[in-house]
Amino acid sequence: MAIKVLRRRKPILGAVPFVAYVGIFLGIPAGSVVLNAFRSQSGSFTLSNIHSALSGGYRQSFIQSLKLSVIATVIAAIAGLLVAVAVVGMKDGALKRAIMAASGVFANTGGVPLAFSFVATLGNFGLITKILLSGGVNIYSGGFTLYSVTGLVIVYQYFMIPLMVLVMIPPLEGLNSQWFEAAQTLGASWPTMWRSIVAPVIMPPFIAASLLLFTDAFAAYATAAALTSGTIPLVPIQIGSLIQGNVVANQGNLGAALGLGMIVIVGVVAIAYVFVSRRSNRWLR
Amino acid sequence: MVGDELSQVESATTGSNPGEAWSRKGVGLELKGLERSFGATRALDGLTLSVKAGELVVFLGPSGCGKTTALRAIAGLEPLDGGRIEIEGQDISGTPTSKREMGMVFQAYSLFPNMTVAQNIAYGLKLRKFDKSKIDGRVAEMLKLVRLGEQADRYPKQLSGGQQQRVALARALAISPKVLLLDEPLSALDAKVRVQLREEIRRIQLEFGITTIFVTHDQDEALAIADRIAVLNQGNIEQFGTPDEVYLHPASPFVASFVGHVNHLRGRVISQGRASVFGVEVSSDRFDRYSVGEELEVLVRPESISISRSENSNATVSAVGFMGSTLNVMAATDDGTLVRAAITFREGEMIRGGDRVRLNIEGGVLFATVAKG
Amino acid sequence: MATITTSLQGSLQGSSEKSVKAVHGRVLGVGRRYRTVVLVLTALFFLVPVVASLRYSVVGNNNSISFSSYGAIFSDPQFFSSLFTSFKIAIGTVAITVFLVTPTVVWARLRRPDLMSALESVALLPLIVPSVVVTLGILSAFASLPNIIMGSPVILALEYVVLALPYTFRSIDAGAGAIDIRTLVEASRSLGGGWIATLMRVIIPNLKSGILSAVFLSTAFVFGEFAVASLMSFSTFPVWLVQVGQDRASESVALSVVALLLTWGGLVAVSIAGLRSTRRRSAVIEDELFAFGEQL
Repeated sequence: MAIKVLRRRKPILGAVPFVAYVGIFLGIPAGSVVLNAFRSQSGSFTLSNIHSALSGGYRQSFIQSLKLSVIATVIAAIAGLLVAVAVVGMKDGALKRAIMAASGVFANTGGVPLAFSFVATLGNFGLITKILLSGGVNIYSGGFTLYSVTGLVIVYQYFMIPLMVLVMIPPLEGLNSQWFEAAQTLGASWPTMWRSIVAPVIMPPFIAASLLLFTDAFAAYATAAALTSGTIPLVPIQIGSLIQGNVVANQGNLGAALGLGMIVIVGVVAIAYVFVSRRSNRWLR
Repeated sequence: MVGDELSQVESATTGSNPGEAWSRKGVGLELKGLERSFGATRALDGLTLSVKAGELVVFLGPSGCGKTTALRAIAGLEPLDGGRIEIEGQDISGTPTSKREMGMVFQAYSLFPNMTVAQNIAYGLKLRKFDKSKIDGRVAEMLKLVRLGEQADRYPKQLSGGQQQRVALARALAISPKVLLLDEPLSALDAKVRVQLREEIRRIQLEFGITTIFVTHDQDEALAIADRIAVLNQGNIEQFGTPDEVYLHPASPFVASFVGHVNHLRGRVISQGRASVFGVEVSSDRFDRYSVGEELEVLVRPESISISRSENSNATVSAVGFMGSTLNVMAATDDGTLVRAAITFREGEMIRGGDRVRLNIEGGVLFATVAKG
Repeated sequence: MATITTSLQGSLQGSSEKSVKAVHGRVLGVGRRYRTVVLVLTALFFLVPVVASLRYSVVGNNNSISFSSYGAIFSDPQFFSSLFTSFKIAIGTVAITVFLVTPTVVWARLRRPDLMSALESVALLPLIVPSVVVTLGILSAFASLPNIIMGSPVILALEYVVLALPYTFRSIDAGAGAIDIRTLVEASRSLGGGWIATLMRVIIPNLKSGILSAVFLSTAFVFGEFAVASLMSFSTFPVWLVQVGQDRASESVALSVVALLLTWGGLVAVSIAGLRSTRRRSAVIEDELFAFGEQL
C-alpha cells in the first residue's frame, strides 16, 4: 500500500493546455500539409504532387531558394564573424553596449518595412543609385536590380549579419586567454594555436549559427514578396501564389507538396544543427 | 634539444620511477632586478632572487604584490621593463615563451576544451614531433603519476576542478620542463581538495627533483609546501627564507602579519626593555630602542599568549574555537583590547565563553613600533 | 579571415620576438585599425538605408521636398482601420500568450523541472514549419471552422500565439529562471502565505519583467507579420503597407520609416531596461536550440 502511494504518477496535467494548443494550431496544419502532399484531388493516395513539385519550374524554384539562402548565409556568416571579432576585441563600454543593442534591434528588422527602406536606397530612384548615377555609374544598366536574387541577398544581410554577430560573440568571448598561454608554454607557435585550439572551438558554434541563418533566409517570405511582388520564383513565393490562386487551377495539393519540401529541408538543417551543437556542448562549460 | 628529449623518453620507458628517469637535473634560476610597471603602479620593483636547483620556492603575498607578474615574466608571458632572468647561467629574457621550456599550471580552466585528457597531455609532445608510441607511453606514465588513468578519454568539462588541475600538472610536466611554474593552482578548489592536491604536487615535485616556483596568497599553503618562501610586497621581496625562519623570525611587521596570525596590541614603555601591554608587564629587547613613556604597537603571536585561571584575572573569554589539539581563544582584556590566543588543549581544562582568565605574554614579542595616532 | 590572423599574429609574435611581450587581456585583441574599418563599414551599411528612407519619404522621385507623404498617410482611412485590426489581433495574441505560457512555465518549474527542456523544444517547433506552409495547412485543415474564427482575424491571433512562441516562451521562462520559483514559493508558504497570495504577491511580480518582454515581442510580431495575414487576405497593417507601396512609393517608404522607428524605439527601450529576459531572438533561439540539441 505504502509503495503504491510513493509510486504515484508524476503530474502532467499542467503541461496539457500548452502542448494541446501547439498541437492544434501547429500540429494539425503541418500534419494536413504533409497528408495533402500525398493526396490527389479526389482524396486518394498519389505521388504526382511530389513529382510535379520536383520537376520543371518548381524544381527551379527550389534551386533558386537554396541558392539565395546559401549565398546570403555565406556572406552574412563571414561578415558577421568579422564584425563579432571586432566587437569582442573592444573594451567594455558604451560603444560596445550600443553595438550589442543595435545588433539585437537590427536582427529583428525584417519584412515589409525593410524591403521598402532598401527600395529607397538601392531601388531605381534610391539614394545610393542616384549618388552613383551622378558619379557616372549606372548600376541598373550594369545589370543590377534590387528586385532579384542578388538584391534579396543584399537586403537579407540587414537582419542576418546582426544575428550572426549576436550569436558569435559569446563563443568568441569564451576563448580563454589561459588556453593560449598554456599552449605557448608548451611550445606552440601562433599558427599552431590557431589550428589546434581556436578553429576547433569556434567551428561548431560558427556552423550552428550559419545553419540558423540559412533557415531564416530559406523560410523568409515577407521581404521577398514585398520587394519583388512575386516575380522571383522562390519556393515560399510559389506557395503563396498557389494559395492566392494566381496560378492555373487544378493543382490543388501541389502547394502541400512544395510545403512538405520546405519542411524536409528545414528539418534536415535542424537535425544538422542539433548534431553540431551537441558536439560543442561536449566541450563548453 | 629534441634528441636530448628523446633519450630521456627512451630511458623513461625502461626506468621504473618516472620522476627519476625523466627529470632534468634541477636547474638554478636567477632573477636579477626585475622591473615592470603598469602605468604608475610598479608591479615589479627591482626584484632579485636566486632559486637553487630542485628547490620549491613559494611566492607569497597579498594580491597586487607582484607575485603573479613575476611568475608570468619567468614564463615569458609578461614583458619586462628591466632586469634579467637566467637559467643555468644563461640569460633567457629574450627567449619567446614557446622556446623557454617552462611548464606552467594556471589557476583554472587552462585545459584545451576540445581535447581529451590524454590529448591535452600529449599536446606539448606532439609539438616536439615525438613518435606516436613514445607519446603514448609518456602520456600513460603521466596519467599514472597524477592517478587519472581512468579519465584518459574524458573531456575537461567532465572532470572536477581538482582533476582538471592534475591534468594541467601532467601536461606541464610531460614536456620535462626546466622549471615548473604554478600560478595559484589550488585557489579555485574546495578546501579539502586543496590540501590533498598540494601534498600531491609536493610529492611529484620531490620525485622529479624539478625546480619549482609556486605562487599563492595562502600562507598555510606556503608554509606546508615550500622549501623556501619569498614574501613579496609592492613588487619586491620582504623576506626570503625557510618556512620556519619566516614564521619564527619575520623580517618585518608586514611579514609577521601576513604569515601566521598576529595580535596588534597597544603597549607603553615603562623602563628600559620593559613595557606594559594590557596591564601585563613584558620584557623584550624589541623595546630597547624606545624611551620610557612611549606608546607602542606590539606584535605578538597568538601562541605567545598564555592563559591561566588565577585570582588576579585580567580578561573575559568571548569565544573559543575547538581545533582538536589546540584551542583558539578570543578574549577581551579589562582595558578593552581583543586578544587572540592559541593554547594547547588538555582534557579537563576546557575554557568557555564568559570565563574569567589571566592572560600573559610569555612567548616573546615579534615587533614593537611607534603607535600610530 | 586573413586580416584577423595577421593582426592577431602581429600582436602576439611580433612582440614576443623582441623581448618577452605577450598578449595582454583578451585573446582576440585585434588591431585598432581593423576594428575601425570593420565597424565603420558596418555602420554605413546599416545607417544608409535609414537615411535614404527618411530622404525618400520627404523627397520622393521628383526632387521637391514635401511632407505630403506623411500627410497622405494619416488622411487615408485604411491607415487607421488596418492599424486597428492589427491592434485587436495584438491584444488577443498577447492575452492568450500570457495566459497560456505563464502558468505552464510556473507549473513546470515547480512540479516537473525535468519537463522544462521538452517544453522548450515544443516552443521551438514553429521554427521548423515556415509560416507560408503553416498558412497552407490552416486553409486546408480549418476550412470547416465557423466563420467567426476562420472568417475573422481571430484565426490570426490564435496562430500568432504559436508562431511567436520561439521568442515569447523563452522570455517568460528566462524571467522565471532568474528567480528561484521553488524557493520563493516555499518561503512564502512557510511565512503563512496561501496559494493565491503566493501567486499574486510573489510569483507574478517577480515574473513581471519576463512577461513584459513577451508582451512586447508578441506585439512586435503581430505588427510585423505579413505572410499569414496577406495570404489569408486580412488587411492588417503590414498588408496595407504593401498595397500602398504598389502605387504610392514615397508614402509606403514614409510609413516604413515610421514602422521601423517605432519598432526600434520599443526594442531599445526594452534593452535599455536591461532585462536579462529580453535577450532577443538570436540569443534566445541559440540557447533554446542548444537545449533542444542536448535533449534529443
